[in-house]
Amino acid sequence: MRFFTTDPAGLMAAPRAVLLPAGAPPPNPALASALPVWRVSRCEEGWAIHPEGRPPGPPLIALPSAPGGVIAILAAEPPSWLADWPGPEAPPLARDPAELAALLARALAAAEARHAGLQRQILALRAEHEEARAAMAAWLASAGQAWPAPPVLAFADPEGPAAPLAAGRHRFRRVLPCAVDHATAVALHLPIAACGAGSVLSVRLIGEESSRLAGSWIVPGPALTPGWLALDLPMPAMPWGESAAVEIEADLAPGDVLALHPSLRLLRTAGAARFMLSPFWEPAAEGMLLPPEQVWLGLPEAMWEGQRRSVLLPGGGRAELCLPAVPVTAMAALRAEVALTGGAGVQAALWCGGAGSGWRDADPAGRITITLPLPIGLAGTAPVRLLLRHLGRLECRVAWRALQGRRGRIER
Amino acid sequence: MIQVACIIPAYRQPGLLAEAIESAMEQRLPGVAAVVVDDGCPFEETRTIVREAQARHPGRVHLLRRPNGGLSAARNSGIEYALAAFPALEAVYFLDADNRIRPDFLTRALAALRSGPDIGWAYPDIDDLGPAERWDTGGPFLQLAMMHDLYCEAGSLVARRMLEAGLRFDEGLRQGFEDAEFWLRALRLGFRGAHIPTAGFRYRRRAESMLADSERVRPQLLFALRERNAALWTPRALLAAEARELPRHAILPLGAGQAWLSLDPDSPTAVLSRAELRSRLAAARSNPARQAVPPLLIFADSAALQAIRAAGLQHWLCWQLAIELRQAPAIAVALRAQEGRIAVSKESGGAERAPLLALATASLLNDPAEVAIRLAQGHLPRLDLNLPGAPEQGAAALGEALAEIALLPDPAPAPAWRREWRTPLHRVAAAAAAAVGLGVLRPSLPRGRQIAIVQPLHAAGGVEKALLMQARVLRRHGWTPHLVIAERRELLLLPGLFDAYASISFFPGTGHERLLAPERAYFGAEVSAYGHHPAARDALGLLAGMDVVLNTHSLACHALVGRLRRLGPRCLLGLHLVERDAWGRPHGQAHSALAYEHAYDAALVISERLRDWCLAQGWPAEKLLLLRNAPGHEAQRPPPPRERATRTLRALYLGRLDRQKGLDRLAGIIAGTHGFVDWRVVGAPVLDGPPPDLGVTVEPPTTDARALDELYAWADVLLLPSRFEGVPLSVLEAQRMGCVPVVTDVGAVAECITDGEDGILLPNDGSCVAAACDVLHTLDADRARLARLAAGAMARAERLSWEQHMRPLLELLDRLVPPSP
Repeated sequence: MRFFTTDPAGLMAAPRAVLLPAGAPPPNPALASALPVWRVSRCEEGWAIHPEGRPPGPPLIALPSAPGGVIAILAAEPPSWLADWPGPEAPPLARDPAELAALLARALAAAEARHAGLQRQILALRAEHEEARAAMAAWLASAGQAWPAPPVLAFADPEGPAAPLAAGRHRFRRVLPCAVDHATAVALHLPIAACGAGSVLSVRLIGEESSRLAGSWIVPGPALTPGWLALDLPMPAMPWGESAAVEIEADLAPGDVLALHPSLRLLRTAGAARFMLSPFWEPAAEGMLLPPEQVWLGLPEAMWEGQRRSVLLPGGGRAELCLPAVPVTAMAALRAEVALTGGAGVQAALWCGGAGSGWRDADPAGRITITLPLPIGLAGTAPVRLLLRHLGRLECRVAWRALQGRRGRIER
Repeated sequence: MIQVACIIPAYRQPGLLAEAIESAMEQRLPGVAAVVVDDGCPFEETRTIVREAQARHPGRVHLLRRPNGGLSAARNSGIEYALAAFPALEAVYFLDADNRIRPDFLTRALAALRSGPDIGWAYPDIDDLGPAERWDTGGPFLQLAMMHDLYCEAGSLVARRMLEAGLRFDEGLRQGFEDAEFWLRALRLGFRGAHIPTAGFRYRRRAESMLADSERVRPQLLFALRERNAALWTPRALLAAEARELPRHAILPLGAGQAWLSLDPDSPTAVLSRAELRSRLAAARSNPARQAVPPLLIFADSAALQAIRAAGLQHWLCWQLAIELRQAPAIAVALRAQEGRIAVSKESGGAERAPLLALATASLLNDPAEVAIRLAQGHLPRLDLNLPGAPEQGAAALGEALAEIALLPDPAPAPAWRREWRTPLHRVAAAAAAAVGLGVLRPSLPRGRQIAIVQPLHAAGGVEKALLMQARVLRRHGWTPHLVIAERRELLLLPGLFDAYASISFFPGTGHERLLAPERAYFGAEVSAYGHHPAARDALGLLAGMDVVLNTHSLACHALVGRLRRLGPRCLLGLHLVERDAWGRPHGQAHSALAYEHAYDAALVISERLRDWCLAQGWPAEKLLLLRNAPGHEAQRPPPPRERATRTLRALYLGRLDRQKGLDRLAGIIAGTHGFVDWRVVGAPVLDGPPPDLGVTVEPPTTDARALDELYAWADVLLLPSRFEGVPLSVLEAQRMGCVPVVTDVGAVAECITDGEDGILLPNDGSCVAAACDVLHTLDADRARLARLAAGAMARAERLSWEQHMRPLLELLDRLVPPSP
């Protein structure tokens, strides 16, 4: 014979239920208040399981399987319906409340033992996790000593015209046909931009499947200039294996002009570390971590725009290359790389915030690497000068290849 | 109110079960329940974990316990429970105990499920949990692609209406692929799937798993899937799906800015601008598994197309081009005008002036520049079609094809970043057919009942004429007959052929009739090895879309009928005579057919004698149908007066000039009647070499009905000293004109001549020549008897009617393929 119930969801979702056969005395009120009690009665087509105190009535629904949450049958004798029980084995029989109490006590002891086991497992897992975190931090610090790996284009829209936006709030959202994994910069095209401090542009990079945030930037109006706006991630996005989505929100003050073409670019690292100083990074966003302090950060590409990066130095000549606005807030040191092509005998020195590095010679490969500790308390932007002198005779091409910054204490 | 139930079967997987439950409980969609089905799991931990989850999520986690029955049975229990327990249930999601879903998964899945009225399930991309692989399942949902690549995962959201339609998992499939089988049955019920963009489904993939086990027996499981869902793989179903989803041809009329997409060249399903076609080709270059493009691009001069269509060759030609383009990136088709015949040959080069050029899309997608170079060099295969009405000078297709390739844009940006693993859509239809042993399917969308009439060759023989007359009757009764030539790639256009047959086709290549399997000869009779030939799959594709295949005398076709019947078409055999070879050994179709008896639904025999022979050889009586012959054409004139003509007796021989026809006897009879009989001999050799000198001028054969009736009207006597015959049509046609047949008593001749009443029978032995000369002497001398015989012949002929004779066949066909209401 089959089993039926008036409330299948209530029966199947009960974690610990007690069954009473028809005719058994009502349960102790203390028991009934602590555990769901269900009674099994005869019905026209078989057996009906119904909540104690609520007699079975239509509609009765056939149970396709046995309820998994029944912990005991409280009955002096095995009820006849036990032979028809639809599960792989019938619930245990408690002949009286004392047996039921013993049964529950055993379940409690088992739960406590399981809880203790879980605590032990968590401890082991936490220890392993802490070691993994330490290894990760060490790896980041180590990887962060290298010059940043150049990014590759993961996705690119063509540039296009766009009409200026009206004052107020505008939102754009796109899921790109590329993964967020290892993303290192988002770039958006601004055909027209002339904004004051009352305007602001917010950009968020998201792992679409999980809706997790991979990057968040807030760009003040004065920093918005026509052309591509590149927004670096401080370190590459995690390999979540999810689609990249970009959300853009523009708050435009009256009188400001901004045309936002929804064309986007996404750049990612080509299999290596790339740590960048990101001026508009929004670290307050949930889960947004910055690289460790020992990591050298690439400086924004925008600071190079319009600046001379190379010079042809005649024998005995001198020259100076300058970056007029390098972000130096919280920076402890700068590092520059210079490459020489042609004659030997060129020396270089780096100068910023009243501190200088002294002259440095090139290595046999024609590279000069200069590290300059910065005075404490620098803030905002400052000019950085690269001084060059040629002690040799043959003409030499000198190129300022890179500049990085580092936060935190410098080991001297 | 629960609107989505996540059904989680649990068996020996407690360690990861909590994650699955939690990922269901963390869904942002309101009204989600987890229904864990404990499938007789031996680990108590499974129940403990679920009870703890029940305590954490009161009323939302449901635990069912059942004896172990396997994944399908567990899911089915969950379905039954969810349907009964949750009145507001809208959909069910199948979550395996070791998989996870991201919190927005069900919100997005439900949106996809609600996106169309026929959407039965919504399926995700597959993001591996463990390996860093991500698998794309996006793009439009296509039934054929689903059937071939089975890309819908069990972790899909299923609409309640699909479950209420009775769909459940097959509990007999315990080795895996039960989910694929479930989706295939959903297709049969008329439901479709919908892709969930950026779903967030994480599928745990371990080196050893149930899936790994299933993959080890993949061929067996695929076979089981197709067996259970055979209705999806019938040739008709495959063709219908191909026409609907993946039209095979883009026909680009020269000088027009359009492309006609179609499976059936007679029924375009879409018209695109050339620019749109190019844009689709560019998208297919970056991901051919998401963007469908026709596998064949056919540049064609409209007049050439019209001539091909008028000759009933358009379906065959498209089919043949698909076969040819498996080997070459392009093929040209040249046309030449020829009256009275159709002939096909394959050449190479000379594509510059061809009015039709077909390109293989696969080659074009791979390397358009390479295809352009091949075209420009002109080293292409070429099919030459000789047919009536071919335009003498048409536009050339090559230049336009080259121009079109030059305009092809660069590949479009990739539409997705996950790994594409599915079959390119331009290959899917062919791959689905190949899965059931079919080569290229004849691209035709059947309307009404179709019958293919297969003959090894098509000359002016009696069998060809008889079949043509039968085809005309079939057509009058609503059937669409198709002529299929198995051995040769040419045919004689008998008068009325285009009225009788809707199309003409040739088997792929030639020489199949001589592909023999001597080691399996049946009592010495030839049996065919064609079934093992690679081209046989294409020949099956040519015939498989028919309702009925009538094979008359093609040995190669015998080798196909067993498979054809399993694919759907009913198969009939046409038998006309029993032969012996020059040494007197049993020979020919009647003997070979004994080896294939079980594969045929019925055999049509033209005489009682042939029927008796078949019965004696073990054919079941119920499978034999007597279908007598009648004249091979409609009467073109009234019979001439035949009363006591006093002029010289006129005798006519009409037929093939082959050894089987007793030409040595004929020569002797002509020589023995010299001086008192005027002779005309009309015919030509077909099977043998030049005939012996007969002592009279041989007139060429004619197929013209009027000319034939004039010949019968001229002659007093038709003389046929054959060694083998069935029921010669010329005898019946001569009788109708009052021309007295004098014929050897062979085959079933005695069933159409009552000796001395409506004709005269000659002995089929060494006395034949002398007996024939005697008969002619007697008739010459006794013109009254000649006139009586002529009257008797005409009276007999009045009772002959194809319409009447074919009635039993029409009834049989109605039983085998009932007409649509």
